Amino acid sequence: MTLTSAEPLRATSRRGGFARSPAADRLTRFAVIAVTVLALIYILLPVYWMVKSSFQTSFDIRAQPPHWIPREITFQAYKDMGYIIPIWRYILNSIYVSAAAALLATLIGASAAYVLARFRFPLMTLFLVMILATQLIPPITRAFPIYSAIQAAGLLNSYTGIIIAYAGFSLPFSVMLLRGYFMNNCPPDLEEAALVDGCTYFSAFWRIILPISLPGLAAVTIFTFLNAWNDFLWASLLLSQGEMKTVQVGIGDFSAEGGGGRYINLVMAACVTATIPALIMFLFVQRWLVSGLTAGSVK
Amino acid sequence: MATISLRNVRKKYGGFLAVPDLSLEVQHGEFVILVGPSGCGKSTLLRMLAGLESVTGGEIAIDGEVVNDRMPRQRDIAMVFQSYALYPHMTVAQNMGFSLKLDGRSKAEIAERVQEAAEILALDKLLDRKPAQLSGGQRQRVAMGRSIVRDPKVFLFDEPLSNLDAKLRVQMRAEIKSLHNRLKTTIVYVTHDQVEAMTMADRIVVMNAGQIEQVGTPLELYDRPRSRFVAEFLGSPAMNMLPGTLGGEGGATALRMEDGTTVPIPGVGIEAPAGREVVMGVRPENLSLARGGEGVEAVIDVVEPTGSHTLLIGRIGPHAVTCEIAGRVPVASGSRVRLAADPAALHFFDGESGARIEVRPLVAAE
Amino acid sequence: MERQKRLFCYLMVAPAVIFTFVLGLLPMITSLGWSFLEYDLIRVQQTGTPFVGLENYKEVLSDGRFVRSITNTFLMTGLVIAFAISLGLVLAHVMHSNYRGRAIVRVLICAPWFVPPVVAAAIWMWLLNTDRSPINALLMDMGLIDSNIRFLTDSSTWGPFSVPLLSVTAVRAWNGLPFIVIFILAGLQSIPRDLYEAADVDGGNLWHKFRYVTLPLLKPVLGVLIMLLLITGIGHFEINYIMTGGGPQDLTNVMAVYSYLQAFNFFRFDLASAAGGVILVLTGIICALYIRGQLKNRDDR
Repeated sequence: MTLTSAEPLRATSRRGGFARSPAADRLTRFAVIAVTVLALIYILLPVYWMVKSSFQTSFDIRAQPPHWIPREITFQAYKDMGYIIPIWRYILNSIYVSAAAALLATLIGASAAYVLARFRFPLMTLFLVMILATQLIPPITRAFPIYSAIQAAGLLNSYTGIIIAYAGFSLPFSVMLLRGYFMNNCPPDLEEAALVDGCTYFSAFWRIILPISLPGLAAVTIFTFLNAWNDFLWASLLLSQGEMKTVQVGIGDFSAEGGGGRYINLVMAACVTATIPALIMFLFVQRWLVSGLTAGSVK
Repeated sequence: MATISLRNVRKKYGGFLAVPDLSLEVQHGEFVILVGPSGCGKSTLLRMLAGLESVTGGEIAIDGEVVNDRMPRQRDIAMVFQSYALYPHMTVAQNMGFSLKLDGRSKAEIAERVQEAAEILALDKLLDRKPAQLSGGQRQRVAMGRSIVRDPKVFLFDEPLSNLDAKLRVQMRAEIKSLHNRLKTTIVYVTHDQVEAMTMADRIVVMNAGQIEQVGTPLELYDRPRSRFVAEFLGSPAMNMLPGTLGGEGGATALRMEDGTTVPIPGVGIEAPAGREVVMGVRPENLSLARGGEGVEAVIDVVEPTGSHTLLIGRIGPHAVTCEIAGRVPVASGSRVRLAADPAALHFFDGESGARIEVRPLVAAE
Repeated sequence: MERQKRLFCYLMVAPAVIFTFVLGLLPMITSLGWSFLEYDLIRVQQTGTPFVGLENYKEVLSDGRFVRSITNTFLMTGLVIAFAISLGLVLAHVMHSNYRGRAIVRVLICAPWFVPPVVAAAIWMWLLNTDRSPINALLMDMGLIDSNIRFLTDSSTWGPFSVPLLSVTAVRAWNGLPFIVIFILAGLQSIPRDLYEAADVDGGNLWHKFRYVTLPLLKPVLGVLIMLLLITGIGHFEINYIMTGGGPQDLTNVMAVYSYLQAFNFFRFDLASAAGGVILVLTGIICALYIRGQLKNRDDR
C-alpha cells in the first residue's frame, strides 16, 4: 500500500487547524466504549449460551422463561452426548479429513508458491492468476459439476474424495499466503548458497527453504485445517452417510430443532466439543493473523 | 587451483544487454578483483561464473572445461555472499559441513575438515552456535569457512565485506589476503570499493556498463589508467580533472579552460594537435605548492589536516581541485596559492571519448 | 541449465495448477455449459441433455422466486457490509489501541471465527426461536414487547425488508465480523504513527484524527475488503441454508440457496447451473469494476 500521507493533513490545516477539545474526546471515547460493550454482547452471547446450555440439566434447560444462569451445573450432557451422536467418531473423521487436506494443500501449495515467488518462467503469470482467481469463484457455482465428477469417479462418501476437494479449495489461499511468506522471509541468497554448496533446485527447496519456513508453513496448515474443519456445504454433499460424516454434518442433523428438541443440552455439549479443536488451532495462528491474512491482497 | 576463461560472454535480461561482449583470462592461483560502480555488470559476471545466472552467448571455461550448461553444484566452486547466506536452522558446524554432507562424505571426514577450517578462521569455539548468535564478523568468517572446507577449484566473493564496519573491514581484508597466500586458490572477488581492490588484488578488472575498461595490476592501473573512467575510479581522494583546450606556443604547451584560465604544461609533448578538447588529470598527491611565478593559481576553500597529510580543497579557474601534501602547510582557507605538478605525473584524456592520450617528455625542447 | 530450471518450475507448479484447474476452472466452465442444456436428473435417461440455448436463463429470470432471491442477495450483502464494516472500524480501533487486557479482548472479538458456522447456526437458531428465545424473554421482562418476535418465521414485510431477513443478516454479520476487524486492523497498523503525532501537534481531537487521517488512508484497504465481501456475499450459501432454507415464503432466499435447491431438491441441474451462471456473471462484473477502479487509481497517481 502506498500512502500519500501529507494530503489529508494539509487539507485540515488549511482550515486553520483543529479546535482541540477534551470534551469532544471524552464523548468520542465514551461512544466507542459503549459500542464496544454492545458489540461484545452481540459477539459473545451465542458463545455464552452454548457453553452455559451444555452444563445445564435437561430439565433446567427447558425452563420458561429461560434461565440466563444455570441453577445447577452438570457434566451429564458431555457424558450422554455420545448416545445421540457418535460425536467422537465424527470428530476423528473431521480431524483425519481436515489434517490430510491441510497437509496436502500446504505441500502442493508451498511447491507452487515457491517457484511463483522466486522464478520467472513462461506462463507463470497465467498460472498465478489462474490459481488466485479460483478463490473468487463462488463455491455454489462449482458444486454440481464437482459433485457429479466425484460421483462418477466413485469417490462419493469416501474420505479420499473430500480430502481432494478440500485440498483443492484451500490451495489458492495457501499459495497466496506462502508466496508472500517466501518473498518476505526467504532471501534468494540462501538457496543460491545451497546451489553452490551442491544442492539441486529441488534439494535446495527441500533442505533449506522448507525448514526455515516452518512457522509460515505451520500457520498455513492450521488455516487450511480450520477451513476444512468448519466446512458444511461440501461435507454434506460428498460425505453424508452413516459413520463417516464429519462433525459439522453430524451436528447439522440435530441443529434444525431450534432449542426445542429433547436433547438440546447434548447437542450443545457436542457443539462445545466441536469448537474446542478449532479454538486451539485458532490460538496457534492468532499472532499470525494480521500479517498473514492480508499479505497477498493488500499491497 | 584453476584457470578461468571467459570468451565473448554476453548476458541479456529481456531486451536489456547487461554484458555485451566480454573476454577475460584468469591464471592459476590468481586473486582477481572485479570492481566498478553498481550496475556495471560485475555481480552479473560473478553469478554467471557461479552458474546462478545463465549465459546468453559466449563461453565460460573453468580449467579448460566449458561449464556454460553446468549447474552450480557441478562447477566445483565456492561462493561467499554479501549477506553471508548462512542457513539459519543449522549450527556453524552444520553450515560448514553442508556441502560435504551433500557430497556423501563420511561423518568423521566432515568433522575433521570442519575442525581444520574452523581453526584456520578461529571459529573452533563457535561450532555449536546458530548463525543468529554470532556477530557480523563471525558470520563473515563462517561464510568463508563454508567455502574453505570444500577445497574448491575457485573461490567467488560477492562484496563480502560491505556489511562490516570500517575497522572490521580493514582487518578482514588482511585476513582474506593472507588466506589466499596460504591456500593459493584462484579467487574472483567483486567489490565496488576501490580500496579493497587496490589492497588485495593481484590483478584488477575495472568494469563499466557491462564492459571491461582496463585489466592490470593495481599499480599499473593507478599509474597508467587507460581511460578517464579508470583514472577517476581508482585512488582516494580522486584524481583532479581539468577540462580544456590544448594550445600554447609550439604545439601543446598549455591548457586553456573555458573561462580563459591558462595552465602551462611544461616539459611534456602531447601527441595531439593544438585546439583539441582534452581533460588533464593529476592525482592530489602529485600536486605541490609552487614558489614564485611557477604553476597555476588556485583558490583554497577548505584546509583539512589529517595529521600525516594536509588536504587543500579549492578551485583552479572554475574547476574543483584537491591537493594532498605530506606534513603540514601554513595555508589558510580563502587564501590563494600557486600549485605545480611533476610533468611526468600528468595524465591526458580525450575530451569526448575519455581515452588516454599518450604523452612523452620533451627533452630539451628549448 | 535454463532448461533444468524451467523443468523444475513446471514440475513444482503442476500439482497446484492441475488441482485448481480440475476443482476450480473446469467445474465452473462445466456448470456454465450445463446452463445451456436441458439437464433434468429425473428425465435424463429418456431425453439426454439437448442444447436449449438461453431457455434456462429465461426460465429462472422469469421465476418470481429467483428474482426475489436476487433482491435478497444484494440487500443482505449490502446490509452485512454496511453494518459489519461500521462496527469493524470501531472494533479494529479498540484492538489497535493500547490498554491492559487487550490480548483477551482480541481473542473475544475473534470468537465467531473459531465457532464453526454449523454450530453458530445451531445456537443462533435457538437464540432466535420464537418461543424459546432468551432475547424475547429479556425484552418481555423489560416490557419492550408484548408478544414474542418471530425472528425467523414472521412473514410480514415492509417493502423488501422483513424480520427474518434482518435476523439472518445479523447472523451473517456476526459470522463475518472477525475477518473484517482483522483486515481493517492490518490496514490501521500500516498507518505511520507520526501522522497521528502530526495531527496532535495540529490540535486535532480523536474524531478529527479518524476523519482526516485514518479514513482517507484506510480507503484502499476498505476498497479491497468491500470487494471481497461483495464477492463472497453474492455467492453466500451456508448460513441462509441452514437457518431458514430460504424461508419463510422466500423472504431469506438468496441466489446460492435457490441454485442448491433446484439441484438437490428438484434435480434440475440445468436451472441450478443457470442460477449459478447469473451469480458468476454478477461476480465477474464486480471484479471487472474493481480492477478498472484500481487501474484508474494507479493512472491518477
